[in-house]
Amino acid sequence: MIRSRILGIPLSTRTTRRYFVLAFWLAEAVIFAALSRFPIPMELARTPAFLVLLGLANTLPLLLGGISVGGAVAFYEAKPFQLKPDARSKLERDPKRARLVLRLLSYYRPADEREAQLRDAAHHRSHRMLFWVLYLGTMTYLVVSAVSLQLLARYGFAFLDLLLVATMSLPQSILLWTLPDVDLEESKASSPEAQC
Amino acid sequence: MLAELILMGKRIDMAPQSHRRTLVVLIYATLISFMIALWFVDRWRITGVYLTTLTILINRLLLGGYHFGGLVKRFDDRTPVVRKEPPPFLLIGLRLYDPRPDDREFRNDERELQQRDHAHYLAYQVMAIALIVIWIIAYLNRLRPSIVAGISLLAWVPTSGADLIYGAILAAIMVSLTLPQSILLWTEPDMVEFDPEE
Repeated sequence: MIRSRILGIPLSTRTTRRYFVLAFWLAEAVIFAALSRFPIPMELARTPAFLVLLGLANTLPLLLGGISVGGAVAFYEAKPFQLKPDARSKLERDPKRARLVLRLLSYYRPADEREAQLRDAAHHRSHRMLFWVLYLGTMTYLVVSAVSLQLLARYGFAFLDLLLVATMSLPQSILLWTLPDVDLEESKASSPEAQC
Repeated sequence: MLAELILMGKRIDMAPQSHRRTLVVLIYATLISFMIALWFVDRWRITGVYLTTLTILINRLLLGGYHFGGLVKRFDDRTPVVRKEPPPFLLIGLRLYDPRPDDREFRNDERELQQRDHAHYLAYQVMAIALIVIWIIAYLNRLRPSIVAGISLLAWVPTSGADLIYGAILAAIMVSLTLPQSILLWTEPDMVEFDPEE
């Protein structure tokens, strides 16, 4: 379910994974602090600096995986995949290409029953957290909109974007944070590359 | 999941899937109607709280899941609060005394926990898509507020982008409170009575 390494960082131990998750959220916090410095809605929404920050904030969750192929957590919606016979024979003749395809396929591995359960349980916890964030956010919105519309214009969009980023990355963060240390030898032996 | 619903003293059979699906459709139709009606009252400024309360009430009486009562068992396996002192005579006399429910009525077994988690996984995807839509509306609103006002649900109703975003978040809260239970009720097949002789 969790890749052994991402961007050169080993993810087999829980401690390293927790540092990875902390670094991710720290980076997002810095980006959002910068985003909330854009107070004027219309003019600055088109500036390159704003767009770069926004793009960075929203693409960073892809590193955690789950919703993307190649992230720290395996792609959730991977379906069983079978090579066509002619494609298989072609690959057998070209070992270099075969290695590349197997590497790509190792990122696209359907979750087994245990992994699907872990994934679903992580989403259950995230769903509860998201509900409370939404609820408290709405209450804050009501209070802030009654007090100062300027404050709302300044932080409203950054908050909404933070909510979106949190939605995209919470289940993966929970998985990376909670799963115990992975036995590398065992996971290597069960990998598609080893089986092939 | 319970096979019958007791509503105002009447027992309603919820074993067939079609009954449960009708209930889900009716619940969402009611919530949508209330949401539209309350927009005209004060654009959900104060009535938004009533909408959330209505959703909690629906959970309490019909859906369950996040509250005791309703068809789906409580998701967090929490034991219902039971008074240590004996119930007042008045409640016993009026037959309103509710004895402690059987463990089977509130504890989820392994299969039910898996179903619960999977329903949340599906509901989470819906919520994520809803938030992406809200984000797009908010960004368009930041770029050019007139676009969002123009594409609002009812063009003849004067509304602003901020109202639309607030309404969408309110709807997201209501959906997040009800969707996992609705998915469970919608997908669970017809319940058949257990016959030990078979």
